[in-house]
Amino acid sequence: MMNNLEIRVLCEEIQSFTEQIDENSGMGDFINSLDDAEDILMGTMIARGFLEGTVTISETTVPFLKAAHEALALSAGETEDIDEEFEEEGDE
Amino acid sequence: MKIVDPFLASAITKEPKLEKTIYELLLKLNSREHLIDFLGTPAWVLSQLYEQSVNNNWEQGSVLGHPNCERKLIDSALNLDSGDLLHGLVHNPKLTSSDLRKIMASKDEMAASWAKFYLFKDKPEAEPFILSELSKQTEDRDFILSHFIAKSELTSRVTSELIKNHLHETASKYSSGETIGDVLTQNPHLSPETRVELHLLGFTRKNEKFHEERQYPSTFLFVTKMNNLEIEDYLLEKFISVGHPCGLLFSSQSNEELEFNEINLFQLINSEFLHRALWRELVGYDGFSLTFRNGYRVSDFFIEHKTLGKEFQESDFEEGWACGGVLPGYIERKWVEQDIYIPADRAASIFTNQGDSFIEVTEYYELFSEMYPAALAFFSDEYAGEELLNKYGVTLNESASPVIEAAALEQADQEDLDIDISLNLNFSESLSWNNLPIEKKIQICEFLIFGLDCENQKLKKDAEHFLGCIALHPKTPTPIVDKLMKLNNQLISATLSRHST
Repeated sequence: MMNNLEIRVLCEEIQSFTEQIDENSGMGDFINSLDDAEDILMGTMIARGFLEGTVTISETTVPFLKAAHEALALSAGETEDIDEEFEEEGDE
Repeated sequence: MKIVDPFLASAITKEPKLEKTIYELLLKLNSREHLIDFLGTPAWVLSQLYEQSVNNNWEQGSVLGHPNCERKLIDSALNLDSGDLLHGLVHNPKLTSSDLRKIMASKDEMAASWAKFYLFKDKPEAEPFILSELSKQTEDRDFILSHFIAKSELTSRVTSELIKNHLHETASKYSSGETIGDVLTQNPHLSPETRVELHLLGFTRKNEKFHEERQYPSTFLFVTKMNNLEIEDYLLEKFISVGHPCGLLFSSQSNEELEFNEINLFQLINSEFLHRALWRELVGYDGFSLTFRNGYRVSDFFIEHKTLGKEFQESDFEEGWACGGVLPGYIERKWVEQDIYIPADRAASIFTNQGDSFIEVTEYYELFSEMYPAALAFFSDEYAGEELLNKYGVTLNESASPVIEAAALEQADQEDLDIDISLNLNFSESLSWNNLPIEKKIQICEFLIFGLDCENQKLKKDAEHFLGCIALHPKTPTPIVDKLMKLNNQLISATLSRHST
């Protein structure tokens, strides 16, 4: 179970990745590389919504955030320690 | 069809140096359509318009179609052989036979057909062409055939052939269901005997008054998107000095010689001076308020009131413009302010209507940052929203709506928007029904009463609307109220009775 601070950090990273992709090639290539594009994209949008206060999330949301984070990180070339960083915390 | 504004023409005749001032103003106001429509537009203005329209061949074509267009522009267009230019140029009545033959030989079929029409109209040479086209199947006939049948003097052989063998056919594939018989009845050159024959065969000329009655000269100097403030007082006075009826609304101006006719009434109403003088003072009285109707090809600015707004309120959405007093809403006016917004439920649908699912909609976006309002819109959707909220375990907060609405406002088409309209309280209004001398009020009232008998239905309704406004106005003098009562007009009487409720 992640606490609120951990979720915020996760969402901020997701947001940072999306900004990075936007600044570079745009999200076209990223979407094309996904099998479960809708869930990943919704995850990224929910992350922004959480940070901006437009949505409130629940435990059900967390796996979608994690999946979005992982996919974005892979796309941004930042794969190091991602699994450890968040999945371990999630298992606790 | 080119139009003549008698007041513009008179003002320039009376003071020729005004021509430059007025046309420079119109060029500055970007009144291109008006300048092209006005018969008196001088060649130098048209040449400037032509130069300004360098990226718009269609507009350049319209300039070339104006009878005052400079010859060198015509020659240059004839050599270019561009369809867009020729479409306009071919209608220029100053073209010579040689010009028309050149266009007839051009690769643009439509322009070539029109050239043929102008070249052969009312001439026996049209006969072989008409007979040849009639021998073809409808879908293979030249569209110009119906123009020959409707407008050109026809030989007896052609008339006889049409009546004997073709009355029930459509003239060409562009004839939109009209039969050759219907088209032939429109021909003004038909002999009385032929007309009777057609009548007996069931073809009678249809009344086209509706189209004709809207061909009044424009009052474009007054109704421009730059609005009245852009017209300097001295110029306004020049128009009033040649009898423009808008002088009726100024206390200091005399309009003793004003003739009561439809053109003058049209000019008075379309100056919007009555709207300003009456509506502004009625807002807030007896529930009178301004309203705006916006939608696909609909942009109506009008009023709400128990009696005066009833017909508009009950009219079909697309037909509101036909009610008396209704103004085109797409013109910017400094005397009013608009609040443009999109209601929350419609805002979300701007995004959700882009596709069946969120993933489908994402195809329209290249950036994550652009897609965010669309995601929120799908969560708020009344059909798909609940399933999505459950699946992702989220609830939507109140702060989501402004995000969706702001983004929707940027993406929406004009017709998706709602517009609230109100008086601009910072506008320094000089027009007032309240402050007009009683003589002027009586003159306006009599002019509008004349309007009740106009053949033009829109003008008639406009006159009725403003008489209704005068009936409602609390400062309308008793002699006028008595006069209005005697009209026995349903709307006016109902409005007068509001004073006693």
